[in-house]
Amino acid sequence: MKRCLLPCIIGLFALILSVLTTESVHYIRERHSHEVLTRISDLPASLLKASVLEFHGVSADLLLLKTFTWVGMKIGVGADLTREEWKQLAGIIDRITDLDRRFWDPYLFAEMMLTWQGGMVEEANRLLIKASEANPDDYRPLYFLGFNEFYFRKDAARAAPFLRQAALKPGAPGFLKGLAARFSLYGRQTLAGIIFLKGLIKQTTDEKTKKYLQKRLETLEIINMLENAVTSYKEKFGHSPKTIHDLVTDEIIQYVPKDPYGGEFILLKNGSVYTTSGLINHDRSRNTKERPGNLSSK
Amino acid sequence: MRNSIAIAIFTLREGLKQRIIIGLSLAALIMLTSGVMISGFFMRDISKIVVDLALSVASAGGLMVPFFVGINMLAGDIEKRTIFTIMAQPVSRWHYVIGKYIGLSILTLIVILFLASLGLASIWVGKLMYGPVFFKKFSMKSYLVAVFFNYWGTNVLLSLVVMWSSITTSSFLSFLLTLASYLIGNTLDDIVSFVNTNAPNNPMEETIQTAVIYLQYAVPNLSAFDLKLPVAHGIATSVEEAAVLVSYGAACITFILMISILTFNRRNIA
Repeated sequence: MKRCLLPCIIGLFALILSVLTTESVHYIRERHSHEVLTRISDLPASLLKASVLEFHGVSADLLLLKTFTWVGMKIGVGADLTREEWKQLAGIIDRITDLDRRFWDPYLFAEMMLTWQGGMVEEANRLLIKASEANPDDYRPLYFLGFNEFYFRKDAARAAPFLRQAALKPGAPGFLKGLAARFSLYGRQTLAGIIFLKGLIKQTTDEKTKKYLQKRLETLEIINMLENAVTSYKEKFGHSPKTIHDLVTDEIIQYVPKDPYGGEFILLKNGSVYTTSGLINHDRSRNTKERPGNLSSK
Repeated sequence: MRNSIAIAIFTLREGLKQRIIIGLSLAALIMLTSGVMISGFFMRDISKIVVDLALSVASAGGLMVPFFVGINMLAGDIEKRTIFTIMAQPVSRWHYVIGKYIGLSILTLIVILFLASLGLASIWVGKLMYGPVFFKKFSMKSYLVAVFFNYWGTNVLLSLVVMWSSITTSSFLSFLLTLASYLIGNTLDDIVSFVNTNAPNNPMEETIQTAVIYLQYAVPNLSAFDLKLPVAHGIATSVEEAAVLVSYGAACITFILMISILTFNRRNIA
């Protein structure tokens, strides 16, 4: 009996250890936590607020953390969110900001993800309007609203009033006044993108996120340089270049820089420069490495 | 009054003997430490996260007194017949009720102040870790005001514990009624707004709507004392608001304790 006891204990211990370290538990947890999270967007706001009792702030924090994890996990494995998931994400952020209307991080997250990655400018704008109503002294929601109108909707006329309002808020950076005025006159989307990214990089301390944004900034700066070269070409020769390589042939620039995303720069008929990469990495394996780690920055 | 004070001191000693502070401080330390770490995952509102958690821990810890110590000491006294030891002394019943209430209130104050101090320490650590730039909005004065109103709201709940323990015969029933009062008191505002919204996919019966509207005046509005969110965002409470809340809380406590004394005086505890 005693002889059997030790192997039995070791066997039992090994069995417990194998059960405790199994990956399946994590998969089950991941799947269910995602299901719970996405269903929150279906709840009426007042019902959600009632269900968290007096702990609105902490519940909003926890929900946002879970949202970061969910989206981060998706991006981490190189999987894009489906159309339905993007809608759910917008809904979750709406509910989080119902719990705490002044909480800026979910709005910023929506601005970073819904517009750039999800193509949901309207949803992002709706959330930013909610943010500007909740924080009437904050310039940031209006600044991002202006940016979205100009950069994504290509409507400088609609962007300028937002930027003018933003520039008048306490603590607004000085450049906003000049930017608001310039936006009313010019229609350079690339320039707006560069200014936006520079501002975002300044706010970011997470190295991975910074690197991710720097790369985008670098590409936009090349596009801006090429667009300026096209303008110079027109002034010199009286007509637009046929291809981007004409800029090199006719000695406006020495060479066409490489697209950091692996695409090729092309000249559109309206004279603006575009890249075939669409600011998305062509190489999938490289892509996953260069996305921001936990989507958090400071 | 001297009798009430003696009972209050006895209640406080009994409460402290339950070592609630040791358990709570351990739980609070774990939560606050993880909170400071987790706040680093957020982008801009780091101070909001840390202050949210600090005040929530103080609030949740404060709730332990009415729900666990309070009910155990009041309803349990009657259930276990230990009340006869006190009643054998020259002590009137209202002295007993007031004394128990004051004792539990002081215990709540100690617990909330202790947890709020731990919360302040976590804010200080957060400042050191992430830099004072993220804590520009934090105001010590507002934090202390929120802690005070947290205590004041818990006092209203304590008076409800005293009332339900005076009316009911078992500690379990007293717990259920206190829990119901807490849930209703904290969700009433949101339920009223939900009922008033009357969304097309959520048609409400008129009787339910009327019941909810009357209920908001019958049950103390505990969510009014919750200032965690404004303080986390650096918004100060005005003197007028503070005065209204202090008066509202005092009126609730006095009224509920009066009912408790009246009920307890008429009750047959034999």
